[in-house]
Amino acid sequence: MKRFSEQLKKKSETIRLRASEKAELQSRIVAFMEYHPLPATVKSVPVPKSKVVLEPYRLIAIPRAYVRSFVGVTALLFIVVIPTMAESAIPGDILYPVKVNFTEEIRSTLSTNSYEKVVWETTRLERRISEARLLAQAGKLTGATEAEVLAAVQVHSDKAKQQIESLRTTDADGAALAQMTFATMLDVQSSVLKSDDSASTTEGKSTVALASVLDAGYTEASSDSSVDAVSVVRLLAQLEVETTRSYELLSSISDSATEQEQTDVRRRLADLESKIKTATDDTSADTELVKKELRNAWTDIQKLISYMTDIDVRNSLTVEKLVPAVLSDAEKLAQSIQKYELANTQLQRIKFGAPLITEQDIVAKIEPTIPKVADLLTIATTSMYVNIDEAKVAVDEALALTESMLTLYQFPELVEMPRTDEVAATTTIPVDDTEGSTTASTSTETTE
Amino acid sequence: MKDPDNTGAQGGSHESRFLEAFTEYSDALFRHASMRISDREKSIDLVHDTFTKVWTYVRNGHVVENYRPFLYKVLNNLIIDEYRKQKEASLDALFERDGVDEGSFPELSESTVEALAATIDGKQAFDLIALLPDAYREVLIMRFVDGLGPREISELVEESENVISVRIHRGLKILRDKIESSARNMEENRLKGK
Repeated sequence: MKRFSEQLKKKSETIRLRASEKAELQSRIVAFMEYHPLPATVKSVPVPKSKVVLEPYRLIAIPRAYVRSFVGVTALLFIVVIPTMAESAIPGDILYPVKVNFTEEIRSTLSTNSYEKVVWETTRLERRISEARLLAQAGKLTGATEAEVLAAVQVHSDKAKQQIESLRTTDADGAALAQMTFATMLDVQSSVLKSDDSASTTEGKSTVALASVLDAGYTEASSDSSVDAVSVVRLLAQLEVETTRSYELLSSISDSATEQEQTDVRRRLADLESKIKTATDDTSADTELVKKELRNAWTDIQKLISYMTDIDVRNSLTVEKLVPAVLSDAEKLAQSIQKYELANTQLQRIKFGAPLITEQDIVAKIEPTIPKVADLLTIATTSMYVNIDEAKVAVDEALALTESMLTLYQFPELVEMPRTDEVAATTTIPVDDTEGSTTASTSTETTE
Repeated sequence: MKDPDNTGAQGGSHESRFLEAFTEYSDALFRHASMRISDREKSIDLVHDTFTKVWTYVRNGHVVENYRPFLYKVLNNLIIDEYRKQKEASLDALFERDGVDEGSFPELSESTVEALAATIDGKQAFDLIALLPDAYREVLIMRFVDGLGPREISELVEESENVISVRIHRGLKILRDKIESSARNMEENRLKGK
């Protein structure tokens, strides 16, 4: 009936008064009104308040093409443009609620299983931390804003834990892996915050509270013993998947990461593969030991993935800090020798400068430490080519002590000291005389 | 335009309300009249008479709350008067010939009307609606052109809603028959022409 009515109405609308006819008709009526004016008694009657045009709706014909265009543009605006613009919003921006309550929630619903939900909540938590860092760098992380961020971090953390618990009922191994991933993320993000220059107590710039919350979360997540139950088979399978993913990620960041960064990541991936192979090839090894090695490999690979996918992590931490390289014996030797030389040089500087110190409290600290360092260097000398790990420990300790002493007093540089035979003798680099070989080549590995 | 009472053309006076009604409804009233009597000049006169009658009504102290139905009622009465002048067959005579009691179709409803209207082409109906007896033409125009509901039409023509529904239904049936008949004739003529 609607179509019949529309057709009939449309045809009938061709019947209308011409403008001239309407004007003439109106003038005739107005003339009639003027000739028959309202009496005073009628004029005093109040005019009804109801409107002359009483129809509740007026039909306004809008061309369908305009309607389609309008609908299309509106849909594009609300589904694409605004969410895209909202992605870069931070707390305080107008579109921030769109980002958190609409876009991210929509993406939550796209996760089909608990593991993906955990991954997504972890990502959301990383986003909140990243936003907090941006605010802190701008000096806008006020008490109120920080409280909001902490609350959001807690919400996402709780949701991740809920999903892990939900996953545990159907896939215990998956839940354990998710738990480890979550804990690793908390650890990495805490490290990022602590490395930031804005990690101070200055109002608007401090992320100390946030880092503390993350630390607490990491402690709780990493102390969960259920992660120990993940089977070797499952660990190996997931490690293979993550390793493949890592190589793909590495090729994807070839434009944004420096050559050195890419080399360092490639080195760590090779180390991890070697570690995994070593752990699984040793058939006599204890199963729990193997699991522990594989769990460590899982944690390391998650840190590498975080390094490659999160530019905040890449800008704040070195890959060496996140995942220290596994040095070969030759690399350890070269590194130990380098550190030995440095510790030794520093020790000589301290020895010759010590008599110049007048402050008794400093003298009291330095005097007993000098022989300790000497002993450690002697241990390093004797074990350098016999037990490199022992030599490395001794050298690291010696270097830590000399650097600590150097902070107590402004010792003059060695170059200013007269070079005597004693100095020349004590600065000699130890040579491997066990097999008649010369000093190993210097390591190119960067150190902290 | 002169303002005979110097009350201003703005809203708030009886004159302004009346003229607003003219601006709003004059075209629709003219359309209704034209489709009923098929005489343009006469239709304009009928619209003029409608408004002057209504003005007289207001001048006599009556208050018009809702101009639209009132204007249609006055116009309808004028059209009926015009028919009587033209000595067209009355509705009663029409029904006496057909032997139909309009009150005996309680089962007719809006949905029945809808179903019937859906089978009719509105464009062809427009061309043939003038051939309908005025009793049916009147209600069909009021219903499908003026957009009045059965209740409003019943108040205008002073018949019950059921009677109005019957007339609409019958009017649509006759319209459809005339359209089909016209189509058959055209086909026959086409075939003869070959």
